[in-house]
Amino acid sequence: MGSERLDFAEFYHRSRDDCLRAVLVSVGDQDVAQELVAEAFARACASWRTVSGHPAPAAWVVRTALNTNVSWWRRRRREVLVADPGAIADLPTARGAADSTFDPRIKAALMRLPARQRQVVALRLLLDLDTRRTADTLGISPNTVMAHMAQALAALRHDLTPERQQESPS
Amino acid sequence: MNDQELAIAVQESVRSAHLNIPAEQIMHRGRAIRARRRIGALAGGLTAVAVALVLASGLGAGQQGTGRARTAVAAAWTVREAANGTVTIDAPQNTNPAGLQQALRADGVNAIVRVMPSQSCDYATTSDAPPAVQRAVLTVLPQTMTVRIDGETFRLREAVYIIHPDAMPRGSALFLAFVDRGGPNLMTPVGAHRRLPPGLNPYVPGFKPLNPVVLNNDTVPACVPSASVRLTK
Repeated sequence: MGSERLDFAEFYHRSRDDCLRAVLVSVGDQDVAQELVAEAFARACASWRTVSGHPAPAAWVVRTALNTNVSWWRRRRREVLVADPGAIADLPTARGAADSTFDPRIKAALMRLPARQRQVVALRLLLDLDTRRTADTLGISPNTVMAHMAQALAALRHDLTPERQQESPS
Repeated sequence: MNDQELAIAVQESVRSAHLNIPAEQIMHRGRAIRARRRIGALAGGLTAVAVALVLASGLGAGQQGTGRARTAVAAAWTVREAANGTVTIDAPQNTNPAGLQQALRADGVNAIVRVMPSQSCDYATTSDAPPAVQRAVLTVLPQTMTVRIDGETFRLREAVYIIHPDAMPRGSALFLAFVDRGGPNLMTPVGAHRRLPPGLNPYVPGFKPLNPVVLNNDTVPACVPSASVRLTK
């Protein structure tokens, strides 16, 4: 039991920031991401014997956090429709410092992506998972992961590259 | 901007995000989740044990030739988590009063089961049997118990009523009333759902049982408006 606690504590310290960043990229809100990741880590702790045997425990945590987000959303049933998600990033945030951890320009570009593409970006770039592991975590095929990643990168490139550079042939 | 630069830009965009919740706090929550899973199993086990004990004691008495039948009412459990993290298991939550009345009568208990739509009225039981009869007919098992699991203390509340029909005077009836506490009365404050364990619905309708009463006759007590209702009229 004692070594189990140490194992979990070590895992938590090692991967908590990566998991938070991956979930933050997926959900876009620092407070929500923190709650989701904390809850997911608590569930990982509760089932540590199983989770520690998982090929990618951090991916398990992120997947659990994202599932929890869907579950919470279903319970709340409150959806806020925003005409231009990118515009959110330009507004002064009420939470102030809490959201200042996420570059607003990149956040706006990411929030314009479909949720599944954001999840693929989060797992591939923030957790450094390969295509197969990302596919296993999200329950989709590797080909779909590659397609999502290519589309996401193309969209991000379009959004983040200055217009002058886009016009001029490279 | 090539793929590598894009990847770096995305990584750098959230580089300053850190999860500063102490590991102890996470592990405390994890222990609570694990304990609650065990509590769920324990609660089911306790109900089964309670019913088994009562039925077994009834059977034993029957074997001794007393012919005394006993009925246990132990309905579904409701598990709730308080803001301080403790878990309360509350019972019974009988959602079928008509079925309960029928079951009790089949067991030889002249029962009257009624549901109040809300706490807007009181049943005026003017024909209660004497206290000695109440005690002879009804046994209420201890309603609270404390269970410690993994260092966490959980306070359980349950209501298992043992009814002794043979002790009921001729012509008497057992009156069981429930308050319908379903619907918006159970709505939890915004955000409270986050403290609820996964899989539990905070909006489950149910009937809160009032204490059973033995009546001298089987006249259904009238439901009179409670004091608060009268004041508003």
